[in-house]
Amino acid sequence: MVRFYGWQRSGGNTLRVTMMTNYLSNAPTFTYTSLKVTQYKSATTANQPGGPGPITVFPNATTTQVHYRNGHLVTSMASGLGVDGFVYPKGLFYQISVAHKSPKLLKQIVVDPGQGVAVQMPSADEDAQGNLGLNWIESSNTEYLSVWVGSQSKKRSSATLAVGL
Amino acid sequence: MNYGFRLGDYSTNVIDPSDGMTFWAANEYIGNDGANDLWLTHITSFTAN
Repeated sequence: MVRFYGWQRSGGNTLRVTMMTNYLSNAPTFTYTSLKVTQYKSATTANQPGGPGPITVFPNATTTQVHYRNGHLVTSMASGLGVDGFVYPKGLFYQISVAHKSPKLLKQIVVDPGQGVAVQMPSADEDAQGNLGLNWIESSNTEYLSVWVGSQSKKRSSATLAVGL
Repeated sequence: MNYGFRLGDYSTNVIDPSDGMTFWAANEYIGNDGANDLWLTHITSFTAN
């Protein structure tokens, strides 16, 4: 059994998990499950000291990697949220249980350092105890692209983390 | 400043298989001289505890 993780490139309010069975046969079976998440959409802007500038081709609203740990999928993407009109990308992190037949969204974490701060290139993994480790870069009118890391205990539920600046 | 190019796609955060506790994170950043000090790489390790 192989499980994949999907997304909607231009935005949306679901994440799709694809389970493939019979993958060594001539007729593999794909089972899709859409999980509802907070609405996201491609963002348009990331600033740095020296002036604002639109992101013209940055492919946000996509994920670039997923880890499978402890029966969970852990993944992330940088995408806009409705809180600021989908202008600046924020760090979106997801933990999905695939231990049972139907995938279930366990946790979604938003890293939002504040108004006008763009979060990009997030990545995440899960340790042996189920805690999440987070990694991202952020920038604003007063901050060049900088590397940040954070973590969230297994005991905590979905949250918006106002970390950063 | 107009970002008419890709800002970079690659970062990673992966657990150390030797202990299952230590995260290793790698990402790109820009140094204090934003005009010339571009796309440096930062690698760090941390734990959730």
